[in-house]
Amino acid sequence: MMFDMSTCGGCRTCEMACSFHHTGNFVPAASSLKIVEKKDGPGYTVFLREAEDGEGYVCDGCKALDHPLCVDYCREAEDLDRLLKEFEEKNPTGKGTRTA
Amino acid sequence: MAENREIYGFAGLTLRVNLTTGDIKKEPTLQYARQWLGSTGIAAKILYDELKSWVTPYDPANKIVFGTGTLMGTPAPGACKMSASTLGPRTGGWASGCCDSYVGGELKCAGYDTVVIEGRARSPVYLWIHDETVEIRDASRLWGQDTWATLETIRADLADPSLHILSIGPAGENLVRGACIVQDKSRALGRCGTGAVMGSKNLKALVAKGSGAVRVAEPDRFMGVVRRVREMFKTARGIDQMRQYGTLKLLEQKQAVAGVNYRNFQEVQFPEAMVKAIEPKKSIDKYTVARQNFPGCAIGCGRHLVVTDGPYAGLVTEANQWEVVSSIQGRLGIEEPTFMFKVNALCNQLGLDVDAAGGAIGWAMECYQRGILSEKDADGLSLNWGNAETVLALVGKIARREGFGAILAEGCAKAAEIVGRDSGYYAMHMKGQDLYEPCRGNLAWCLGTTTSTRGGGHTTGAVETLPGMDFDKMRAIYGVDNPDKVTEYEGKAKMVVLMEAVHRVSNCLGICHFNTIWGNLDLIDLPQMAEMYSAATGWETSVEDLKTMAERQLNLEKAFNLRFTSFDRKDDLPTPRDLSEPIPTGPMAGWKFDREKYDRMLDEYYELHGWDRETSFPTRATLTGLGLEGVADDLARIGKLGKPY
Repeated sequence: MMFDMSTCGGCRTCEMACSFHHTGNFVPAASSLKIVEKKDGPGYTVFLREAEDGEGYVCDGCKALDHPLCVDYCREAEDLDRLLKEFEEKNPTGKGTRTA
Repeated sequence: MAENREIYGFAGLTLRVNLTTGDIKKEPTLQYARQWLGSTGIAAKILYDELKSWVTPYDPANKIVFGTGTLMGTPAPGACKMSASTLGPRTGGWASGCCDSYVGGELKCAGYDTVVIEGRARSPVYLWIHDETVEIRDASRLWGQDTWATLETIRADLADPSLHILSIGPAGENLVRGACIVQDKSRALGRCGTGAVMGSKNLKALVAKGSGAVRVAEPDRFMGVVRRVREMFKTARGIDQMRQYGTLKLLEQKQAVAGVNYRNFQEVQFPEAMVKAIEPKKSIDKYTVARQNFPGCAIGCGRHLVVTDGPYAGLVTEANQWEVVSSIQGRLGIEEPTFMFKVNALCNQLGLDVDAAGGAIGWAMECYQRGILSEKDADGLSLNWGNAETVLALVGKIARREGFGAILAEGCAKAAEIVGRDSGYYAMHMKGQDLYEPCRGNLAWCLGTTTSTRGGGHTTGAVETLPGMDFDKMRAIYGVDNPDKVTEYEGKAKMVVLMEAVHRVSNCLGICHFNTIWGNLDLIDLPQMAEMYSAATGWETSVEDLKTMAERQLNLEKAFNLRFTSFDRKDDLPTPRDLSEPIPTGPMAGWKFDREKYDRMLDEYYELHGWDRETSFPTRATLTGLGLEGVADDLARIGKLGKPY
């Protein structure tokens, strides 16, 4: 699922934080969210895995933490948090299962 | 991911690619990692040990070492810098440049800390590194393309629009001495001509993608430290302006300390009319369409722009930092506010360092002003100050070595030797490399620049001192009582020696200097770097340990220069213009170097390092104390060991 996030600068620190939450290491390829360059001009969109796709984890919202770890490491924390809540509403089945 | 040896923080492997034979080897990084912090430190060790003294920059026997920061691939603030180091064609000695990068993180996730490029391919190639697989691929079709087209072509060829690359443009292919290596479209491994060495090897690009993990030794401790360090960015003084404008915020402060370059350093302050005309912050506000931040960055000073009006309307590019304003726009007296975006984009497309372009063109324009050069010398171009069209034409000619551009492609120092006519005085360079840094009136900045092992540059020891800084904090950090007195010679050597360590440690760990005390006194200092490095590697490392490793690296860079060049004390002095002319305008007008005091400051600097005051050469005791006994023997053999105190 793709989300527009106009304030995202593409630093991908969220990918590192997310993968750390799931694996204890920094492995962006396994992150639940991916920062993707826009095709039609400068800027970034946020991709969140909706289901198992053989590559990484599905977002579990970091339920055991006060905030999702990616949000903690995002400079635009409010925007990312809002986006994650929207994702959770649209895709309530995420269980954080390793799919790869 | 390639096999990960039992090492943390580091990815584990050093990749060697011989372009002559096609041989590809993988070695453990551990052989270097305990003595050399990472990135440029490991590169210095490899190049010093492996290059014979007869090697020249474009010789196939030269090597390029791409280094990733030890904290790259982690959320450590600003840990996005990678490096390229080699025997360089600007100074003939140590050459190294760093830049923001996605490629470095991909390399680490693929399993590699360092990539050593050896030999020379028979025809153009590019290197495609994806996890264990390393391919040398044909780049005949890419040769001649600019860096922007190269990025798009490679992404299409490999069917992956998310790929990140390092590439050279026409400047590197044509062995322009100021050619750089460009990351994607906008960040450059600049200075020193590393792009020309890449061109000499027929290596058009390096592409990396990794699916593996960067592991740290003590994950909970590491994340705790990183979280605390990232908190520093929430309250750091002045950080909002940095977030909004990057170093383009500096114009007013630089004006106040004779910190700009106008008309090839004839003046070190812009005329008021020019300040009003360029207003760089206004252009950022006007043309920004999106942000651009690199991995881990806790500031976020980059911007994507679409220029919507003026002579460059339609340009889609990334915002430049302050350096472009001073080094090329101001130096050449150009008042069009969007020129900085245009010339920066053009240099990036062509793979030409903006400082190299500004230095050579600035020399030519001053020679024209003084009647040394005419239109006839310059392919019919009028080299008058402020002529933007001429500058853009010359940038293209330099990159392609066309006509007069072939002379400028050598850099101002060599161009002046070629032209003669007493033009050497106007060639503003350090150790043969075009100078960006205004040196008059700001001694800690000047000393760090002039003594730099890579030939000028303000990121290997120069201390930024600007109005409005927290000078009490500065006193505590540097251990001197007069950091605010920029023209007092006392204490400046001590400040530079500390900053040499901070710069080297941050380069090795991959931390952007803007995220450190160099860019903001409230941000990362050596204690935070020591803690993050310790938790990441599992090797408990103190601030003193970091300083020792940085000092070891600096001495090896110095020894590398002594082996390949004739540099000595005279090459650590400011330019003849800076030494002889007073500041002509502005609040510091009339200030001039006191040569006797300058020499005493330089003496003190050498003493702090344990180097011979007369020659600048390291002594045996200094080298031995750093574990470099073999280097001391090498220098003794060539008669370049400093005399003991």
